Amino acid sequence: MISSWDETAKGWNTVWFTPRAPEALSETRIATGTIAAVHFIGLLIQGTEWIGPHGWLNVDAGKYLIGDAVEGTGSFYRWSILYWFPNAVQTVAAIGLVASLTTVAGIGARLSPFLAWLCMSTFQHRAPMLTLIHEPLIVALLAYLTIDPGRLSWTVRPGLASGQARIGVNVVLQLIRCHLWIWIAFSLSSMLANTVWWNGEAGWFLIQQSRGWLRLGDDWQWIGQFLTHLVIASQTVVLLGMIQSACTLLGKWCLYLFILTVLLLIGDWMYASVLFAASLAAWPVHLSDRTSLSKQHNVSTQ
Amino acid sequence: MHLGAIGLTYATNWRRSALQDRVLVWLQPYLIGVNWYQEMLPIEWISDSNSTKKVRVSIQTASIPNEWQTVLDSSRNSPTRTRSERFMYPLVELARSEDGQGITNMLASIVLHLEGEKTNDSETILRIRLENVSMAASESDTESVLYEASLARFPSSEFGFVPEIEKHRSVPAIESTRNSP
Repeated sequence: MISSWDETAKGWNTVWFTPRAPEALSETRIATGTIAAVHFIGLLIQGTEWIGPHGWLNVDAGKYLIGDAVEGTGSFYRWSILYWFPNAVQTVAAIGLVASLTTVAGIGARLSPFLAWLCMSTFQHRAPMLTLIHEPLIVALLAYLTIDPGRLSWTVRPGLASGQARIGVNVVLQLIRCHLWIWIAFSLSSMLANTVWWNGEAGWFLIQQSRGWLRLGDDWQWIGQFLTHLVIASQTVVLLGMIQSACTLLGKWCLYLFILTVLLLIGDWMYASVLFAASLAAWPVHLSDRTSLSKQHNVSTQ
Repeated sequence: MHLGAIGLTYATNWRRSALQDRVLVWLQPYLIGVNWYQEMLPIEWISDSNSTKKVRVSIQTASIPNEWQTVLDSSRNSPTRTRSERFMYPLVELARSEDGQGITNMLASIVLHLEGEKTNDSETILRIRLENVSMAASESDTESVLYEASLARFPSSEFGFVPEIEKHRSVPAIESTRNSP
């Protein structure tokens, strides 16, 4: 009994606290920073129209929606400076853009992802009802990168001057993996709670609404049904692939299929990009490099 | 602990038990303060909910008093379509739940936004309405209207809304607003 507890504890420590080379986070950091930069460019252009002093959702309406001063709504913990300085929308977006770009470039260590997270949270706290589907994932990735941004350089592949393995890098990778797993599990269960995802109508509805990149006539209804089932099946396999080493490769390709369905059915390329960025923590593009990093680490510890 | 809280946040996105609600309130300083808390995210892409059906906001101005001009339409394909849908969701919910103060705040925000762009008085908004586009195509005009109100202007340059139904009363109730131009 005690030994099984010991083994569980050892396994837990191995999963979470095995030091990893900082290069393992490079892909995730560069991808996240790039997507955040694109997001802030969007806010720089359109942010004022939505939440500026005379935006569609002004401060009074925004405060009403968050239940300002109403007990139990948690509005007390919303700290966006945009409630007090609605004119600062473009300033915050510009700071966020710079912070995102420095995150990509590997400048500023933890400060860059932290600033990008701070600016993005400032917008989300100002108008949580306007938050889009991809935003919670970007902000989570930035928050995790604040713990350890990995190797601070433009390069993705590990070079000769490889950094020393750190526990923080592994903790961040595992946190992103688990977060993505929870997200996809929640996405899948939300879909399965709706009849249209069972009878195949969901994909066809979305195609008819011209939301995604796919445009089809009535004769192609079966493609909508096929894509509906593909969305459900791919997410199921992704979840399995993230916890079962035997299904890892299958999980990776199913994630790419899921991302493809995101583009075809809802056309949300930002959501597709964020899913890809988060997946790099589980399935890096340079998988062979990750393997070599792992081997390198094993050799050095021996 | 952290991942458990994240799981709880996502699990309670649309519906929650009383127990989950109590735990969420207890965790609010962390979840909201550090921005992990999200609610009503359209993560399932499509929904049966009436609030996610296509809706639009239309106005009548002093220059064209008999014609409804669409100013916000969540059924129209545009780069801001998704954001418009997110904006429309609380608007529809407030109209459905007959939350006078809430709908007034939202509509006042829209009026101030539109009048902030106007170049002359002829663009002054007279009436505003929220309608269900998916119903408008198949059913009668009145059934598709979720909320409609006339604007009542005060000398102090503030304004209020007289909901359509209130016109039939001898003393119409004007929804006051904290907004002013």
